[in-house]
Amino acid sequence: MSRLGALGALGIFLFGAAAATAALAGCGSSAAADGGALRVVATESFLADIAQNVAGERFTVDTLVPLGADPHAFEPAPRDLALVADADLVIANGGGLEGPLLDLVKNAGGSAPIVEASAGLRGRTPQPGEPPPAAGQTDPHFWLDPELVKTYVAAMRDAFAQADPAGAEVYAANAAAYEQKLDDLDAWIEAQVAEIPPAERKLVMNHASHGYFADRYGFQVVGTVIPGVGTSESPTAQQLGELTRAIRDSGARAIFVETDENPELARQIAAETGVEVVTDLLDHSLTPADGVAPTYIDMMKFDTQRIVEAFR
Amino acid sequence: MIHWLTEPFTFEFMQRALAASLIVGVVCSVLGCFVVLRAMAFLGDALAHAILPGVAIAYLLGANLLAGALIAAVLVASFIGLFSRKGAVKEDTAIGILFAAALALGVVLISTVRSYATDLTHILFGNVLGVSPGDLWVTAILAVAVLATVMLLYKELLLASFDPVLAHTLGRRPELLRFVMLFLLAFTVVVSLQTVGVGLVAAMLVTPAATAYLLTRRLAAMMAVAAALGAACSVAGLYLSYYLNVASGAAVVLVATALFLAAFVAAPHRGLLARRLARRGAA
Amino acid sequence: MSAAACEPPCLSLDHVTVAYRGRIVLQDVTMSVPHGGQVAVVGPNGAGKSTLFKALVGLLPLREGRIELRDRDPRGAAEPIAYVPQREEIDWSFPVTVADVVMMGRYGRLGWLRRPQAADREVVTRCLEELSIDDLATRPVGELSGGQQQRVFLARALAQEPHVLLLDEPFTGVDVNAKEALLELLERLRRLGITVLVSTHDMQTASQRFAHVALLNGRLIAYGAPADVFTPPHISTAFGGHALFLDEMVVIDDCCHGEEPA
Repeated sequence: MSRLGALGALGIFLFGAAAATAALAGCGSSAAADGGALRVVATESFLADIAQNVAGERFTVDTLVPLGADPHAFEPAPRDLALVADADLVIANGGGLEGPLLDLVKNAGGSAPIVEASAGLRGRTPQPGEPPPAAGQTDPHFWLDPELVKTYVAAMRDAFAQADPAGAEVYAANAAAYEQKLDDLDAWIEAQVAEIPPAERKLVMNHASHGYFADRYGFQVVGTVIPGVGTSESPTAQQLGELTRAIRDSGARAIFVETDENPELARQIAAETGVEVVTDLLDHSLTPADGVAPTYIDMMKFDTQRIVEAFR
Repeated sequence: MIHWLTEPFTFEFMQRALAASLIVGVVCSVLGCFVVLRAMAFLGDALAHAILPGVAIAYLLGANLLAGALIAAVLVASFIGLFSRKGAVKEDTAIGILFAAALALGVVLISTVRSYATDLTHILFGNVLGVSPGDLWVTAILAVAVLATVMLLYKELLLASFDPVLAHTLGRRPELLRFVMLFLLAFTVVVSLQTVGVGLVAAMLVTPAATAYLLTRRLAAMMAVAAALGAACSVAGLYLSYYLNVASGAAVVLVATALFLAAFVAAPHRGLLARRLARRGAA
Repeated sequence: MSAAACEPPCLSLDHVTVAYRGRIVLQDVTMSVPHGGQVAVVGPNGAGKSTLFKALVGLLPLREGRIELRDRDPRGAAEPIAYVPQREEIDWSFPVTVADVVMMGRYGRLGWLRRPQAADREVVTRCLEELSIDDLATRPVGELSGGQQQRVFLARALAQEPHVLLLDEPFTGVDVNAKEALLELLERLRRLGITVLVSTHDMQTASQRFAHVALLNGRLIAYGAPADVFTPPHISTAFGGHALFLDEMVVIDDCCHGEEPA
């Protein structure tokens, strides 16, 4: 095969492929919107639940990341992204939670605006025992404080109203109703937590997930096994040593690990310090309908109960 | 029927995924012929991890991450070349050593930066479904440059790979060409990584070329067949991933592997069946 | 110590010393080969025969001395010296055909960016015919027998259209017919004016079929016509205790005599 021939063949092939792609793109179009109902996709299941409450009966909110999957590690398949491409509105948490997934979502094309539900919320300052924040990083786990979720609700309500002005009143009403539920939730959690004497409210988390929860309900965060907001780092020996000492000094009773995390490091420290390990806390993922936490409010109640139980 | 063919590509991100996958598939398969023949199959994976310290340092200095990755890749490629000079240490050994060292160096550097550690590499590990128009341009330009270089230097690269002694006596500088090849690989790997991610790049550097080897007798034919296979897997893999709703990059890799297995068994002269029949015929 | 008066042009070595891994392997070799001359290079294992060839072709650096071809330094020059090593250390599973391999001999003349032309393909075909392997042209080189492979590399060397041809032990392990064919080829090359140096252990062939012989053992012990070189004192010096002189016969045991550099 002559070299020129090969080069030519390659060129023709690539050109042909590009042309075919362009031609295919011309044919067909995404299905038209049916009867005006909004198509909305939320990145996370808890966001979808909150959004559904605001949407009410007017449309269904889909979820991108499946239950139990880590948004940072999630690899979307083409039809997942097709959902995004066809959507009228995308709801993300923001604050860095989605990580590279957000880039994929943005790149998926389509003209849907992406609403970052936590926009406008200020990141928290870590408590003394916690690792200082890395430059430019905020803790995105705002939703574990029901009071902050009101910002989410407002953002969603406004976005829905803008995309579907006809339903503006309905959304406003739904949002107000849900905010009332959030207040009830807040009061309920306060009552539960009141069981624990303030001096004993000490949390050790696997990673820095419940910071806002701790701030709101008066818990001291003694430390975290994984020194950061993400789940994929490894602590150094020194950091583990400091944590062990901090646990002993503070008298914390348990280390809280989430369902989809590896509890081994936590178990080692627990063995060393004689504390309990709770391994089924929920963070960003709801459970299926027949599980313990099919809605955001159920999830918060479940977490609260597990935490309070550990202190009995 | 037509609808079945066109439906996946009504989405722009799928169109770009196809274009990126085609380009990367062809370039990596062609370069992959040298990777396979010179027993450097781990190079793709190794370079993908070796860029970690480059990225970490770039991040700490506030510099451009892609530039950091390219510099790291070129450095690691140079060290591979140096360690395996004149057969002092075999190329795959050199790769193994540097891969681990660079990865560890990167991890150490990153542990001084308390952030989402994976973000640092994920910034550079692309996803075939996440290719932006800008990415596509960069990849296409690189592909043209790399393929043109391979075409221009074809006979020199062939000679340096096949018989470095003759290359030396004819003044064809085999050592220099070896470095040229390693640099081409470093650039290709880093840019392709950013476009389509590690799994796809590492596989495209090895599997189509290995399949082509079973089907051809001459290097030029091997490259052409490898390129065609790389392109074919991309298309087939993307279709499969759409209709089965699974990760696209991985689907392409599995299609490539399936083609390899088919060739391994059924290739005319080198396949398993052919060799069994030949043995029985000779007996 | 030179052979017949040197008719220009020729290959000349002037006090050439070559070291390998820090050890001096060849010391102070001075000799001159006439244009079209045929020299058999003999000596025990480890004498430095391969080293001499590698130095001539530029694969080993000279510690001292000069090598000249036609009054120009030949190593890396455009008109090459072609070298056929004893064992090719190449990857036999590489996807190249016989014709591809022989074409590689043309690369020196082609330069970096040019592609083989029709004229090059003609040369390749002629070289294949010269070695009687034209029917193997499209076979992958890994499928050939040892003898066929040797002929391929010889054809490649001829395709370089060299002025000097170096063959490292081409008679080792070949049968009588192949050896005769090779000697006939060498005769044809001589008529074309191509200078040939052949290293061999076959002393019989060296003394009967070659005009000049160079006897080496770390240095050049003797160089000239076979009768002048193969004298008892020279043989003794070269082979030491491995040579046994009987009445009408010399017995030489030529095994394990030191390390021949790779």
